[in-house]
Amino acid sequence: MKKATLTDHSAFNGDFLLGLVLLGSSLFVMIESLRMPMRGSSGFLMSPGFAPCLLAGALFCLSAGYTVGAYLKGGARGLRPWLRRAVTDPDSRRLGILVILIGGYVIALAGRIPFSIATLIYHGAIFYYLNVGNFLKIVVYSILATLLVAFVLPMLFEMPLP
Amino acid sequence: MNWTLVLQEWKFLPHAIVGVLSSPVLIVTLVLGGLLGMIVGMLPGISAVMAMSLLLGLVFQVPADVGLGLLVAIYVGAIAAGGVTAIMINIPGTPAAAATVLDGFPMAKQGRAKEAVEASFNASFVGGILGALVTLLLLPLIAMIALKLGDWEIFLVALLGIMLAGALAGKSPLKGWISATLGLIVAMVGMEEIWAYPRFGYTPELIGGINFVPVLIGLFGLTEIFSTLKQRTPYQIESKSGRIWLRVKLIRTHFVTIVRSVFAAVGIGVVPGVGESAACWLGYDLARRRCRRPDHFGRGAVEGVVAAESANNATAGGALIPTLVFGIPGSGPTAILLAGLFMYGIRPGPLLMIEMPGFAAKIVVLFWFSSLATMVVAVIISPYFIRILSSPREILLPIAGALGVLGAWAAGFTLFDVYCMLAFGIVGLILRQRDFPLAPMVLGVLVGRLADTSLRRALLTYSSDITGMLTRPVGLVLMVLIVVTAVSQWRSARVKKKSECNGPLR
Repeated sequence: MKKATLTDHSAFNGDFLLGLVLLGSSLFVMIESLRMPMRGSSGFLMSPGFAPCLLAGALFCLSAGYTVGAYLKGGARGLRPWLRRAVTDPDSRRLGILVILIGGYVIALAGRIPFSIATLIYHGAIFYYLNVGNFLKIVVYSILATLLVAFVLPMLFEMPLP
Repeated sequence: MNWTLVLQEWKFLPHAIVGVLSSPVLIVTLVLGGLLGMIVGMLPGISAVMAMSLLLGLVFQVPADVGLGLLVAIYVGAIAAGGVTAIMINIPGTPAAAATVLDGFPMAKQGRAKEAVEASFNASFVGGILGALVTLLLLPLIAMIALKLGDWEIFLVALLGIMLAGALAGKSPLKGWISATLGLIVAMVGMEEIWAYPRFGYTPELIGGINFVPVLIGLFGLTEIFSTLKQRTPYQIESKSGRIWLRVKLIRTHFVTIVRSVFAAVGIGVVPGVGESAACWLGYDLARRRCRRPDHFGRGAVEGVVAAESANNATAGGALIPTLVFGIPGSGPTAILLAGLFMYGIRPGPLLMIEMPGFAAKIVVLFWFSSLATMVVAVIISPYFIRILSSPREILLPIAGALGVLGAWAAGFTLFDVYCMLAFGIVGLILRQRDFPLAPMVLGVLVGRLADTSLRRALLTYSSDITGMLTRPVGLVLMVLIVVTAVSQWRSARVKKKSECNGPLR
């Protein structure tokens, strides 16, 4: 494992940013919980917002510890170059394409066109992108996977399809 | 509940065993149920509940023994097989298999997949049999403890499970606890049960709450797919293919671990709704604490797989108690089992053993034979599923993604669930990039709603005298356990951190 030194702060940039997001989220949950109506004679203790507020408080404390830890290790320094590196990294680009492929299947295809066709398109596209073999292999794998997902299992479990 | 009734059930055991052995139809049913349970346990998103509820209509047309045998066999098969995907593709088939990932997946990556799967099935088999046996032997004692469990104790067990999962699942307890808290907050979304107030109900779908299954598929399944396939050359599982066997030597070596996990699991499995998910973590924690080399845990220790799997299979026995003795189902599968009992005119409750002597013994024997049938099926089909699950990740994981979409859809037949799966997949990916464990978040979503309702109901009950709530005996023991767990996990993490000389947070 790569050892961190005082000058090697890039390892903590992501921790620092995520910590800020967590802190923001916990504050949002806390404010929303406090806005929930009081019910019963026990006031806030019995309010629907009691448990979320308690949890948001716990998340705030834990995230504060996490963020401060990252900050002390240099997490706030060099954020812009770190973000630029993260965006241009080949792994990140590959990840972005995977998210688009799966997200496209979930949001743009499933429920809008017949599920079997959506599944076939998804498998064909993702197998092609992942370069699993020649064209014939991609077609065969896609058809077999579609048969399993869109025909065999729904028939076995008698379920309607999206 | 008294010991005389239990002794009577013990006397019925040989009769129940002969009853199963002399019925070829029942034996075939148990084998088929075990096979079906294993298949659904291994498919991401397809749950035992789905298979059991589908067959509920069918079981009504067959005799009670055969119908209940089929349901029990599916239940046992699915729990045992949940560990297989946890080991082979880092996606637990059931929430109870979440702790199996910690050592099972590293073993598979080290080329020891077959060894891990073998250990998992051996531990499941022995854990299942011992769990049911301990349940029957200690029925009055466990029922007595179960009667003392109130809302406060249910909340504390949920908290204990979350504390353990948070501390054990990752390298840093802080990240584990943040992950668990996030899961609990997700569980708060939707109509709450006491005042029927729609918390965070910004859209009609959100008022209905966030279903647990899409969260599980998104966090475990999609995150794994994204994390693995983003690499140009993803890892491959290179394991010797072959048949797994029942290994007496393995069972003998880890017998103490198995027994410890079984007792912990039966004890905690009694708590309805939360016991089953917390048991694997408790079993794992106990094994790690008692081990001479706790640093091996999380890096491919067979003992870790054995502890987690024996605990989650033994819990099935513990979950039987509230189902049979009180008529309260502890989980989805036990709820279906309960429905099956009602369909046959069997009324679970404190009078069950008086009205139907020998029934509890029969159920325990069905659990035993189901464990045996699952083991036999695993021995027969293991070379095939090990080979299939060792396929190149580029082929296997996209198919798992499509299965995940189908599973998320099947959770409530709404596209909202499918979108939730995608959203949690992305959230899981971000968290995993920063080395946050995801299992505590899943556990948080699973038990969060029940924990919240239990806490507020307890506060409502004891609103005039809160000390009454804090001094309940079982609650006191649990509170001490939670404090000890938190402090010891924190201290051991600090010691580990110091020894790693100034390493990065992740």
